[in-house]
Order: sequence, then C-alpha cells, then structure tokens
Amino acid sequence: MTDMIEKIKIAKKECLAEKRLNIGKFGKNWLAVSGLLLIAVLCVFALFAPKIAPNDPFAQRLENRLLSPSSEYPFGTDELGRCIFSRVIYGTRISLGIGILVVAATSVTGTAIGLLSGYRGGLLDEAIMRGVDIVMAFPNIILALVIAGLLGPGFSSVVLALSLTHWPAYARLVRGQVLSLRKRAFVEAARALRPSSFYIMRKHILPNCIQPVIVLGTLEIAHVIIFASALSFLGLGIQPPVPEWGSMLKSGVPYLRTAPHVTFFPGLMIIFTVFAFNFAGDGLRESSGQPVSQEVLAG
Amino acid sequence: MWKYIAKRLAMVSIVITGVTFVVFSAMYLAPGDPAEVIALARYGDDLSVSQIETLREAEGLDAPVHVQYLIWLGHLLRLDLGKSLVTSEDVLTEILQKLPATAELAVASLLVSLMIALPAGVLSALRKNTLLDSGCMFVSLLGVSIPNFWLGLLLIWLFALTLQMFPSFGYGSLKHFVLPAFTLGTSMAAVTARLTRASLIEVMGQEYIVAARARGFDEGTVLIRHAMKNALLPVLTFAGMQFGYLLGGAVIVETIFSWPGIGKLLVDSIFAMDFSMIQGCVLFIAVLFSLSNLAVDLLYAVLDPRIRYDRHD
Repeated sequence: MTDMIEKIKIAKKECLAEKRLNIGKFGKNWLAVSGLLLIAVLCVFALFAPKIAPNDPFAQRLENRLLSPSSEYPFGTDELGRCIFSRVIYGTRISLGIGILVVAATSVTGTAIGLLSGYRGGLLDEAIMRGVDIVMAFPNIILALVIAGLLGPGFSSVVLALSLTHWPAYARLVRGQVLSLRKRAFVEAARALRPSSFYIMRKHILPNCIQPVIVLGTLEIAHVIIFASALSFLGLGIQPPVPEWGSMLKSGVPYLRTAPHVTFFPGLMIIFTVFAFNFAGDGLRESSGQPVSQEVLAG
Repeated sequence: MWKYIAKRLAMVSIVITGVTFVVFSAMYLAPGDPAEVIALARYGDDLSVSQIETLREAEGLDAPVHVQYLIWLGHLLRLDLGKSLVTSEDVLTEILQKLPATAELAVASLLVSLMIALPAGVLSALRKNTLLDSGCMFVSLLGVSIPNFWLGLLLIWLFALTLQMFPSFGYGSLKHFVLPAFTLGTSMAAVTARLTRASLIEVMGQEYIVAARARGFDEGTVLIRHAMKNALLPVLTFAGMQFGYLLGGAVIVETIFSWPGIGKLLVDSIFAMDFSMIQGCVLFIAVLFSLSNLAVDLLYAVLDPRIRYDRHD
C-alpha cells in the first residue's frame, strides 16, 4: 500500500516536471553543452571581429588571388585576393544577425498570433489557422525565394522574406499549447475571479508556452541561417562584397577545380554554426521532455 | 471517414484559393511599375513610353487590381497559366515539360534517403544508448546541419572534378542521377533516421511488444511483425511529406547540378523577372504540395485504423 502511494507520488512529481527544463539533465548532455559553448564562441567572433580577423576583409590584392591556406592567410585568399579567414569571421555578424533578427520577429509575432487564436477560438481561430495553412502550403524555401527575388537582393529583403515565411510554426505550436492549457484546472480557477483575458494569457498561459517556443526558436536559428545563406548562394540574398558565407561560396564555384578552399571554408563555417544551434536546441528539447516530432514539423 | 475526406477537400480548396491570392499579390512586391518591368524583360533596355503604355493595355494592367485578380483567376480555372513574358511559351506546357526530371530526382533521392535512414534508425533504436546509437545520432545531427549546396559542391569537387567518376551537371543517363540524388537523399536521411529511432523506441516500450515477447516470439519476429508495422507509420508520413516537398523542385540542388527541373525553372524565371512564369511555378508547386500532403493524410487514415478522424481536427 505505502509502495503504491509512493508510486503515485513519484508519478505526480513526474507529471509536474514533465515539461520543465531540467538543468541537471541539460548539463549532463555533453553535446548540448558543447553546442552552447560553440554559440558563445560564435558570439565572440561576431562581437570582436575587427580584433580577431588578421586582415582587412575588404582589402583586395589581386597579386595574391586564390592562394592556398598559409600562416598569413589561414584559410587562403579568394578570387580578388581577400583573406577568406577574415571574411568568414566578419560573416558571423551577418548570419547571426539575420538568424537572431528573424527568430526574434517570428517567435514574438507567431506566439502572439497563436495565443490569440487558441484562446479566443471560434471564427477568429478558424481564420488564423487557415492563414497558417496557406503560408504552409508553400514549401517554405520557395516562398522565401520568390519574396526575396521580387524585393531585390539585400539584408532587409532576406530578413523580411524569412520572417514572412517562418512565423506559422510558432503560431501552430503555441495554439496547440493554449488549447491543452485552457482546460486545465489552474486556468479554470484563475478565470473564476473574472480577470481580463489578457491577464490570464499573460499570467497563466504564456509562461507555460514559453519553453517549447524557446526550443523551437533555437532550432529555427539554425534553419534560418541555412536558408539565408542558401538565398545568398543563389544570388538572391546578401550580395558581394559583403562577406556573407553563402555568397562567398557562390563566388568560389568557378574556381572549384583549382581552388576548392574558396568554397570549402565558408561552408564549413555554416556547418559549424548550424551544428552549434542544432545541438543546443536538441539538448534543450531533450531536457525539457518534448518529442522529436516537433523538430521535424519545424523543418 | 467520408466525412473526413470531404472536410479535408473543402479545407484544401480554401487553402488553394488563399494561395492564388498570395501568389497574385506577391508580384506587387517588386519595386516599380509591373508594365515597365515586363517591358524591360521583353524588349530590353531601349524602350519608349508608348511601348510601355501599349503593353499595359494589351496585358490588361490598366484595370483595377481586384479586376486583374479576378480575370487571372478566371484564366486559372481554365488551366490557363498565361504565357512566359520572356519566351512567350505557354507556362503550363513549360512546367509540365520540366516535371518528369524533378519527379525522377525526387524518387531517386527518396530511395537513397530510406536506404540510409531505415537501417541506421532501426539499429540505433535497438542498440539504444550505446556508442553505435550516439554515433548514428551524431552523424545525423551533423547531416541536418550541412547545407546541401555545400555538400553538392563538395561531391562535385571530389567525384566529378578530382576522381572524374560522375558528371557534375546535366541530365540524361543514370550516372547523372548519382550526385544530385545523393546530395538530396543524405540531407533527408538525417531527419528520417532520427524519426525512425524515436518512433521505434516508443513502440518497443509498449505493452503489446512485451506480450509478444512473452508469447515466445524471437526478437526478429517481434521487431518485424509487431513493432515495425506501427513504428514505420510516422516515418511513412514524413517520407510522403518530403516527397511532396521535393516534387516542388529541389531549388538549390537543381541549380547546382543544372538539373532541368521545376526548381531551376523557378530560379531562372526569378532572375529574368518573368512574372507569369514565377506565378505559374509557385502556384503549381504549392498546389502539388498541398495535394500530396492531403494524399499522405488520407493514406495514413487508411493504414492506421486507430486514428479516428471524426473527433480529430
């Protein structure tokens, strides 16, 4: 009998802890921790780029074009004799900037839309969800590609194109959370005092949605960085001479046979960055007990 | 079930109507006057004002925007996607010409991805929390993180330029398939393997598996006859969704390998500012994607009788 009560207690505890971030568990996941460390390194790169880069990323020395890696140019030089290492370091500013900007914009709007949709329900919910369906009816690279292509290349059109296409994932996620939360006893109890809907959403529902949103956001930074560099690679995003990894890769393509390092290193940097965010996000997901499917849907 | 299908069909038609609206209004994102942009695409740089005005009237661009939308929608209903602004070819014919190449690549990459992902996922699930499992999952997370344009270029450098085993671009023989299908397949395999592992682990923990073991079936039978049937359902859904996604043209891979598919057509027409071709491609891709997702959902309902759609939304 006592055994049974204990079991029930444990079960209750587990139930309460089900979707809380478990820092101890996160700390033990060495992949996740190393992801977090890599992100810290990238932030240092971005913040202190002028101090870290050995050469001027824009300085062209045509007599030094397409040099292989050496001590002066750790990653070699590109087709205009610019130091690839310095350009790659400066590139963190662009990619992290786009990633953070887009995820900040989409997570906030997506969450707000999801909250509204889930809490209000009815016709509004139906309309918003059909809107989400419409955006999701496009494979998202396609829509981003067309928007960026029509707006014309540049930093702001990449950010806009990716923001317009990446918010529905948050809206769907948060709406689902709200729907399951609003029937829970503590929300019913809070409602008994008849506070405003805004108060309930802010005080009782939002805090319980925030964790999955953070997990999704971390994984989305990785997606957004890949997408942004893909747009630039196709020539529809950030344009040269700005040192963006995707456009650096593109400019190396004609020299693939003779100087593969021009395409190799910028790509390696993308992988490094995306890897860091994927590991950290995956670790966060695992230690807060969310299913893999969430990540799959986000793709 | 029939009610569910009817409801889903109704929803898909609402979504597709919305899609047409998005596609139509997207064209107004381009800076400048559409008539001028079209005239530039068609006649090149030296054009006169009267040429632009003639074109505006001929293309019906002088009508109010909502009238233009309705006229365009009317054409769509007759499956008329218009003519390319650059080559004057019929848009739908052009797209249908490119469809086989894209579809073939989609099938090939799906096969590659399943051949890698299923064994890896199943093995990781069976040897859960061992070195093999962590190794597989590490590689798959790495696979998710590799942008496929980089992988594609790396493969071109290694297998086409250095070893000269496979052609680096073009379409035609079986050899042309190897590099693009592998590039696309591996990036899909990474996610599919993770999903297979998660799904199989979940199923293997269920009571009916314990029951099957208790009845004395050997582990292989339990795995294949009992566990896999259920574990593969989410994998199948995901593969179906991926297939729909790929049918829309793997934009980047098609561009790198000069694959004559829909993705490359879209990118080329964006660069040429060929509005009607862009509209046609995007619309075609979105409709195909929606319909294939619908097909996957319905297939799921047929395969998994546990799902009750009358309650589900």
